[in-house]
Amino acid sequence: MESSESYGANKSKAETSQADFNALVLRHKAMLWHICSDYSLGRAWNVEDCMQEVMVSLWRDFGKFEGRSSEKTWVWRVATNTMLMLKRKDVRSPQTEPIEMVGEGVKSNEPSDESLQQLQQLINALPEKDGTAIRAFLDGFSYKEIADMTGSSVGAVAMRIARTKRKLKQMYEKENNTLL
Amino acid sequence: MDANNKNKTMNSKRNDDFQTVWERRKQNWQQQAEKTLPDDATLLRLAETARHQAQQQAAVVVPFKQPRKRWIPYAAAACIAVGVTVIGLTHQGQPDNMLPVAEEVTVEGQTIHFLCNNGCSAKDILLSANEVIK
Repeated sequence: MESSESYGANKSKAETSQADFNALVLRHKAMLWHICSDYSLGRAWNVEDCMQEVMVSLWRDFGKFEGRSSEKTWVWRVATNTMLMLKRKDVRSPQTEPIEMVGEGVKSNEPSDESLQQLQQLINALPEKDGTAIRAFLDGFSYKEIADMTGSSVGAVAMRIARTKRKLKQMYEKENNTLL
Repeated sequence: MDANNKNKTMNSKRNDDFQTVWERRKQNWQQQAEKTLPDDATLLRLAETARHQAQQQAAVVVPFKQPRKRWIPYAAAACIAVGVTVIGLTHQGQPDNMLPVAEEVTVEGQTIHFLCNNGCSAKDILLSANEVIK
């Protein structure tokens, strides 16, 4: 049986260089921020808090990365799993209303492009597996990489993405026809 | 946003067909993220805080007497109910799909190892888990 030492602060992690971890965070900063922002859209979440949660997961698993996938794929997967976990917890928690922030120097976390924002919200409303596959595809991962991440076949991933894209298109057009 | 800019946004929205927005999302996510990305010093401060937070996590061992297949989903639900982050599941080295809510819980025999990161004590988890399993 593993001792408690093997959790959270095992030996390999203790030996892991903080500098290496910082370098990893900075190498993937745009992708990490993008994932946190996307999942936070329409929720009363602070993106920096989400980023910190993601970094906790990354640090915890840093020593376990074995290089079987690319570093980018691994970081994306850890960040996405963390955000999915927050989302599941959020569903079980009472909803709160965001406080509208005013004043100079406050950066919006929402895409400035209204159409993009609408698309992102539709993606957020998708079932988890469909949403994850479509995000990975839009973030530039190949079918093969998505298949490896999700434990599916390449064919199944291609079918899921095509089907989900059609569904998103219908949702998008329906909303816009209703709005016009 | 002033009225003119808002009108422009609304007009551009009406002109954006789905494929255009789809391509824009696919091509421009990095630029979009960089618009609001904090500076490196802020990110490194978050990384530092995250490292401290991770090191404060404590391993909790909860023994159960019932067959594993019966208690795992309930135990996970109980842990989540008391605010414990359940971070992974392995059993004899194989991923286990029984616990879709959890990403990593280590199971050996009739013992389940959870990570607790919200100041929740082992007793809280045990009480809550036993309550759910009853």
